[in-house]
Amino acid sequence: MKYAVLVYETPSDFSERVDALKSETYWAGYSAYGAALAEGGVGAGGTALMPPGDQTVTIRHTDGKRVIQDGPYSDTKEQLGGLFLIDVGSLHEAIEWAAKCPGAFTGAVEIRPVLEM
Amino acid sequence: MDKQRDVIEQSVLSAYPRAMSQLLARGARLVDAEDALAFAREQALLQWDSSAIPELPAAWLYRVAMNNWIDSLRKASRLNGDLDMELIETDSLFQELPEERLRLMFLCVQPVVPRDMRVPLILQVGFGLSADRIASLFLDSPLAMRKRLTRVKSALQQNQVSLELPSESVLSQQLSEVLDALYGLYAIGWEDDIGAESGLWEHSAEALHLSRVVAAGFESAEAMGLCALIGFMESRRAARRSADGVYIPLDEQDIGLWKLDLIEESEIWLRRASELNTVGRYQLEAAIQSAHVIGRFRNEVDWTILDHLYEQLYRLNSSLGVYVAAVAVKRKLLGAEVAMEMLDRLSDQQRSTFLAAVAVRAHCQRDLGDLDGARKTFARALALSSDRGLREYFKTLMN
Repeated sequence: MKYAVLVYETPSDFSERVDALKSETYWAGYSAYGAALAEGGVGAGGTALMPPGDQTVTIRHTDGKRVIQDGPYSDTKEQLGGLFLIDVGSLHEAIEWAAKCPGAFTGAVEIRPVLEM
Repeated sequence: MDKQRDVIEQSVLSAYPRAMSQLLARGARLVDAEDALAFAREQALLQWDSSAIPELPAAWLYRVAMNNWIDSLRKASRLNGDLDMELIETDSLFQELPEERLRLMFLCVQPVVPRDMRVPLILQVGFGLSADRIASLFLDSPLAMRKRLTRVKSALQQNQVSLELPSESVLSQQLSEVLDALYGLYAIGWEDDIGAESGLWEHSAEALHLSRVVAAGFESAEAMGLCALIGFMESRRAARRSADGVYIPLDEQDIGLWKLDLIEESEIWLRRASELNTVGRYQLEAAIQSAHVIGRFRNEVDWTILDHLYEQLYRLNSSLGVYVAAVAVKRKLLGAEVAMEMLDRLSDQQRSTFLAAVAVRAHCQRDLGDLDGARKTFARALALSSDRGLREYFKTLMN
């Protein structure tokens, strides 16, 4: 079964990414995690996202009218920072992997089953 | 206010198992007993004052729950007239087991309960933990855990095991299941940092206590072995994490923080077990602990003895975990190259994703002077840890 591990990061996570002192540790954590998923035979893709910023817009059509707003869809402290796709045997196994994601220690991770088409 | 609630919650929790087993002993079905106790717990939170908790909290809970249960039986017309306590009083062996919680443990290790659900069931029925909290401990979804607990309880119900009491021979057959469950219960509060945060060490303390009851009550070498094993582990509790929760390996612990009385007690259990002349998993694991402890006291670990013990243990329990622990001893005894060769015999996936194997490999690389490789492998170990204290420890090794 495929699951998406959605990584919600805090503002300080996002700033660590580009911090001169902390960025190396930050990225080393994620690259080791990604490599562990791959070698564990469960990694099935994924991507990191830029933090919400001036290239982030939200679009919707309401009452026949198109509305484009600056900023992310949800105005919460933690924001989607990226996602991993994993292919595992059960939800339990997905939770075991997600519990090791660096983001689970600083922000939060959400697991969602992938809709197979 | 919250503090007051905590105090009350705490005494309700510690009275819970006693009240639960009393209800079961009066013939309540497990699900009914749980409902009734949930009601009693609510009442306690409403009525108790933290400065004036009833002198016998378990008796109070039991009384309220009992009334609630009888009310519900009356409503369901399953009961006419007065309840004849004597008639449904259960008898014999369950009653003779000295500890209520132990009775519950025997209930929870019935064959109809799948092995992986036994400790969760004990935590819920014996300790009143919510399914949500149990799910967090066992890395499962709360919904799935709730369903599985419900299924297990109804299976117990259908088999009427809450009332059927095992014969003595069944009881001693079940002893090894109880030992496994006790060890599982202890490990919950030991393995990870969740324990420190949520007060689960109390459950560990309870597991130690119960293992003493079992070791004293049954002439079983494995029961004594388990008691020694848990005692050794518990003796180091204060030394195994730094003040900020970072994991400290045994050979770097401050032995001034070890509890000597527990170590002595464990040595005695271990000696008594060996007098029974049967070897088992828990005895061997306790003997391994003992060798490590003595090694620290003498400042010289006897790796030959440890190697021998692990070989015996692997013969009884050929698990990946035991194999890797044995490799770690080989590294000390014969060097990193031999250990690396042994790790190479594992499958690629085991070698790269089984945390203990990864950690041992990193140490071997460091021994062999491959510092860059070691750093990368420690980073992998970090990526495979879901324990915060262990992650911090691997971080320090990466530098």
